[in-house]
Amino acid sequence: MKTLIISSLVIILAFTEVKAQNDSIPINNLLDELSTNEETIALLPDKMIISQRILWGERGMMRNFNRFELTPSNRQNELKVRRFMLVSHQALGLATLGGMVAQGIVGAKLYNGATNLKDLHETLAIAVNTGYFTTASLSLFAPPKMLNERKGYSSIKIHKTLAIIHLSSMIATNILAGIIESKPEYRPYHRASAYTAFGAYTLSMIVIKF
Amino acid sequence: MKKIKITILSLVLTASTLVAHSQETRIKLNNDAKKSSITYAMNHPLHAWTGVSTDVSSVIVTNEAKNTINQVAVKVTIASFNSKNANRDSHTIEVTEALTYPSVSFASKSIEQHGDSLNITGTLNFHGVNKIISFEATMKKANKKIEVIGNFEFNMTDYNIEPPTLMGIAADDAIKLSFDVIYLE
Repeated sequence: MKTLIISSLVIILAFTEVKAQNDSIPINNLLDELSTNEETIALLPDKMIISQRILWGERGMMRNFNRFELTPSNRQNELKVRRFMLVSHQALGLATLGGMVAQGIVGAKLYNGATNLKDLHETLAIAVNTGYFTTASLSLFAPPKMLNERKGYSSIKIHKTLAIIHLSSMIATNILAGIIESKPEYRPYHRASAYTAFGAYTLSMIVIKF
Repeated sequence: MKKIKITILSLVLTASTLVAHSQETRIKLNNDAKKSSITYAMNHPLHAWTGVSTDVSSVIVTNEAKNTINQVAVKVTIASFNSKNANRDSHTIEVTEALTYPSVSFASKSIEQHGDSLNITGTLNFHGVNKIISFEATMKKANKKIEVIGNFEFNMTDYNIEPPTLMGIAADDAIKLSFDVIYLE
């Protein structure tokens, strides 16, 4: 009789234990059930600037090279190229800002009559222009980002708007530099244009902080 | 002797019924995608920022009778995080190699529950690396909905990710992740 009771209890306990073991669902099965939109990630944004579209668009020039065929793994490497170009853009941009500050000091002295600084001013102009346009090129010709622009303002949108201002001012400054050789009365415009370029350029760097 | 036999039979039947009942109370609940979100917060010496994803897919297994959560699984795509800066979000895709590892997922191994407080341990899969993590969460149950809120922190380098840089300065290694997921009963 005692044996019968013990056997029954063992059966009940075993039954409960089996149930407990079956109570949880294999966690990988749960994960597999979850659906996300990972298959729908587009490799290129809908909009990109013209220089990027010519080089890196779906039928861009770079797509003719096997290494840059539009595939997820190539695009992954392309983003590394983009990062390298943008990090270089930041470093060279900072160095160019230093050149602009020096040019501003020399330019102001030259404007106030220190004509012996003209050669230095021109040398600095070559250095600043080289730094500036290389910096701009690193951004303009970098592979495009992955995503479309977000709605609303962001620091990068303000950075790009300011870039339009300082790029225009830099071009104007260079044109006016040529004009003042024959028409010195244009010197104030050259200076104003240079200061506008410097101001917009500095602001575009500061705004990245936010 | 007959009485004993009847008692034993009753015990077996009761146990079977209990088991059957408890199996019935195990319920799988999916999250309400429109109302669930996961937010990451990162810090750089120049600024701090957050990114939010509302493309969260999650499931919990609950025990209705005990009012407990037994299991949880969550998956979210990295490209779905929005920090209101497309360049930054694109950079996130790059540093996390999201074209190769498109999503981050969590699968629980054990959940300890005391009232509405949960202590969850499980595997976080990020950038193709699996790590066991533990974190606290709270559960709110109301209007046929279960809301689970919590947060935890982890380091990018633990998942073989190099912290992104700005102006030559690297962002902090730590990522703070907070979640607010609502499951429909």
